[in-house]
Amino acid sequence: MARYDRIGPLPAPARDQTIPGWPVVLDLEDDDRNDELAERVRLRFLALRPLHRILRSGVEQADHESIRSQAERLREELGRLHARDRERAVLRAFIDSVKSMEPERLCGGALALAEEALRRGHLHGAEEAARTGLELAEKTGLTQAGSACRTRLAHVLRARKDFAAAGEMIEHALAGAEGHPAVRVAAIQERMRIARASGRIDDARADADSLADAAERSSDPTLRVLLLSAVADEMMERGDPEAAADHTWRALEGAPPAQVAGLLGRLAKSLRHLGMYDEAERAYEEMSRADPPSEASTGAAAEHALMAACRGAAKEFARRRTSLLEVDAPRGLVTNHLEAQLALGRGCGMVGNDSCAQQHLATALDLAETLGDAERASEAEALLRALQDGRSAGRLHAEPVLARPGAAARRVGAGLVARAH
Amino acid sequence: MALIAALLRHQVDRDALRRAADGHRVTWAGSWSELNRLVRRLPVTAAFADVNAEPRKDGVLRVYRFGKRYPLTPLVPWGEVGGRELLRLGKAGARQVLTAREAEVDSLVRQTVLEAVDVSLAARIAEALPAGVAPEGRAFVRLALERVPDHAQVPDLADALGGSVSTLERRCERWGLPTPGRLLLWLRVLHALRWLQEPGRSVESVAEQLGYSSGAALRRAIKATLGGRPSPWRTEQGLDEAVVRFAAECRQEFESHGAEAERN
Repeated sequence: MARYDRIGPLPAPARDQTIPGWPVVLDLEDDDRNDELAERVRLRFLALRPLHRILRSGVEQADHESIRSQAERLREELGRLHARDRERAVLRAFIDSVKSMEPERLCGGALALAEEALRRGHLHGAEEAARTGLELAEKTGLTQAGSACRTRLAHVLRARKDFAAAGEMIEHALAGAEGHPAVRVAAIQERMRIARASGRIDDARADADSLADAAERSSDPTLRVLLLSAVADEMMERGDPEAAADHTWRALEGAPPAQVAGLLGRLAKSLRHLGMYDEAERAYEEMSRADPPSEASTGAAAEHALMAACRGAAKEFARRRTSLLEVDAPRGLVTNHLEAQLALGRGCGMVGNDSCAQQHLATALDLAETLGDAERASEAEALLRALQDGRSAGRLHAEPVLARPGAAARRVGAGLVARAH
Repeated sequence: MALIAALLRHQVDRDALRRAADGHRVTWAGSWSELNRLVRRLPVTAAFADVNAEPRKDGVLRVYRFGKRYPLTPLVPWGEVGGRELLRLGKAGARQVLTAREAEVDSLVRQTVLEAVDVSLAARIAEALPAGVAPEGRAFVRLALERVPDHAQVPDLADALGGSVSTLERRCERWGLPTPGRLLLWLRVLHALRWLQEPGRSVESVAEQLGYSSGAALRRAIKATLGGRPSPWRTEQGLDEAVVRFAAECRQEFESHGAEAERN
């Protein structure tokens, strides 16, 4: 805000005392000179407006022709975002859902908007989209969509460190997720994260055990992957990469083809933390065959680059990093990807590219703070400090190997070799 | 029929508002100061203003000041607004906005106009009326309330219902409402109390808006209905209390005439 601006310092009004959908623009508050962000929040605001109008009048009573005209005008404005910007695709899909006027699609669209905003660390945008989706779900009796929206809201509250409200929200989400296994798994996973973030480690463990039991009993391959992936994530958080690798490997057995790439990325990360670089490299290679570079694989691609640094191959690291940044440049995904920024920052520090390392790590720290990820924030801070102090003679070390590979890890490694043949 | 004040610099926007406000009157301002003057002097129900109407003036700041002066008169900012302006508009207290592209959709502008002129007073009064008042009676109260800012008199209301003054009086008795003259007096006073809550309006200006010859005449009307001077009633609670008293008079009327008429 300009120094003489009398409006800027005013407090934000309550959600029900302002323009419907307005809270999405609050993400601009601390960064109001950012033109790209200003355009992004404006488009989010405009996108949610037809949904608010539908909410006010009711789906049945809404003027379909008017809503379609509004959606069409918004579509014409999407050109303000780069053609490969992921949010542009999300908004386009949302506009289609608005034109369809189907409550289920509308809720899904709002949820996708919330996820996209959250991925960029825009908590106000994420909250408003999820709340709007939730209102529609409640009005139209869509319990499954309502639970998904509540899970997203719990994530926002966790990021704001309002653990009590997040816990309450996630219990509501779970209550409405009965009979919807995928939604339930996502909610339990969020509950684990809330428990971990608020220091209730035992509760997180209990949830992980219950998910592992459910995976044992499940005969649905898609659900089994979801359950085991959630357990593996929790194991990684717990600092047990061997158990994480073991669960991920079990999830890979019989996994539907669409889920294989994601699992391989997870597996590679666990193996890296076990110091099994050759095996991790193998997993990344198989992953890139299963899933050609895509938006979803940004984090994995950054970690693949880091692998090269871990093995001391500075040129290969630089090649992979440059290639990732070039592919990503128009989409801006790496910029907003916490894990990717951390991996690239650490990699740059390891090969002696301190200025780039500093940039990546500073971005990672910003993102981690916005998203309320205290562990990643302190990791980024520690790396930045190590860089600045020169304690490591100008170079960062590879991530510490968390555990020596045990029997399970060796079995996974052998399994990977066998898969390649 | 509501009166809308508008400050729109583009002809295309003025045409869009005119089409959307069909059935309402629109009065045009050429500047922010003129818009404020119009609202102060005329029975304006809602206002629409292009935030970029005056190139060297901060439109959002004008929206904020308008809201401070006339907190109960909705002002809908209109025009080309970017993310920053949206952020500032929300902080300035705007409750609605119409972007330039949205203003191309006639049905949307119409909807926005409808929402802006929907006087909250009507809902409060409808809620306070005795449950037994017939739907026709309720519709009549609503019609009378809408016509008060146009300086409507009893014969105008009788015309609107397609009958004579005496027919209207009989109908009011049957519906369990006060006489049309008394009803109009009450509705003018309630309108006045609502407007008087806005710091930008004075007893004199509100009296003029409601068709009274002077501020003293409005004070007399308030004394005839509520008793005392206007100042104690110039708050949200004062208005609530006034609506309760109006409803009590209606209830008394309903119990003595309406219930009997219902039995017959």
